[in-house]
Amino acid sequence: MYGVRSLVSYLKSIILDRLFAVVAVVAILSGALLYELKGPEAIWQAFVSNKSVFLLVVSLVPAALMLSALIEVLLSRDLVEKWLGVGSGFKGIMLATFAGAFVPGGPFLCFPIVLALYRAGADWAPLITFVSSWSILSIMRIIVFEAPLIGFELPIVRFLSCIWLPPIIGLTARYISRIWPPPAGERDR
Amino acid sequence: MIYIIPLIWLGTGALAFHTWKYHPEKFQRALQSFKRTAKIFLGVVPLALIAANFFTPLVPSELVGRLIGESAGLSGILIAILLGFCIPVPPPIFFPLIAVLLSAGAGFPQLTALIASWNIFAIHRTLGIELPIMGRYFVTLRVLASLGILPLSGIAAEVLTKWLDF
Repeated sequence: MYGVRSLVSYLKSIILDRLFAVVAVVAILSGALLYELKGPEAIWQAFVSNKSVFLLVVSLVPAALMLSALIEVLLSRDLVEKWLGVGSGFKGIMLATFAGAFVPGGPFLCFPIVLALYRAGADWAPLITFVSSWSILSIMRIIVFEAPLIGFELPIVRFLSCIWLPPIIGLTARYISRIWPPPAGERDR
Repeated sequence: MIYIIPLIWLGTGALAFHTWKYHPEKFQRALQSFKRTAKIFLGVVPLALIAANFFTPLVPSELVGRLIGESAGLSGILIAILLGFCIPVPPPIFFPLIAVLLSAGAGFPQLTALIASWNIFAIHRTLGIELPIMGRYFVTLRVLASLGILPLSGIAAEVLTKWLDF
């Protein structure tokens, strides 16, 4: 009985979500507009046309989610801090690029890590490199969101043509922070 | 693609077994985290896929094709970067939107620039999470450092697309 009740409350928490409500409104509005403009066959087509995408999402996403959850709990914070600390120089920027690409999870995981690194004395440049790499190159996001929805060709082109961006952003940030140093007290955050 | 799925399952299974056997308390935490993220995929993502499918036939593909199509070149890349600035949506909504634009005739270089720009500036994330946590100097420094090289990502994608013959 308890299992059923917790399942119901889990399902309820899925539906009573602001993002879910927003997407639902978009779906209903665009569905209504499509019905109005192109008729009921267009609605049916919309459901049938992307069968392979649905299959891909169903077959891939559970594993990718479990993988990212496992990496999240296994990642040692001390180790990450050692990689990106002050004085890590260009090596730190390259490691930040690499780490950012592999750190899974959303902004609620990423930015607390960045703040912890900052407090531990990490430099601006590796941190900005890390955030850039996490946002542009995140492999987990490519597997979970990009590839199932848009196929592999665009993500491959995008990844290869953006792979050099985070180090350049980090080096530029280092240069800018030298000519425009942080205001006093910024370190106390 | 067909080879990647079993590999990911295999790797995940091995890692899950290792964690369950040697770090049972961490495995419990991983399960909690899994349940939390899975919510998005049980609710928002399927709905967003349906919404995207409803939306695809409605997008004025000629207009989008003209704006950020393969033939739009550098000006298309710059328009795509501007678009990326002002799309305040998380990944579950953003990528279905990209799928719509792709099938509406947008080019790889332009979409690369659009995604890179959204990745770097995603307004909802920058203002909602990064600014409160990291402060104004960090955000300003990051944005200033990224601004200049974004168009180069689109140009690199243009070269790559031709070279890979996609």
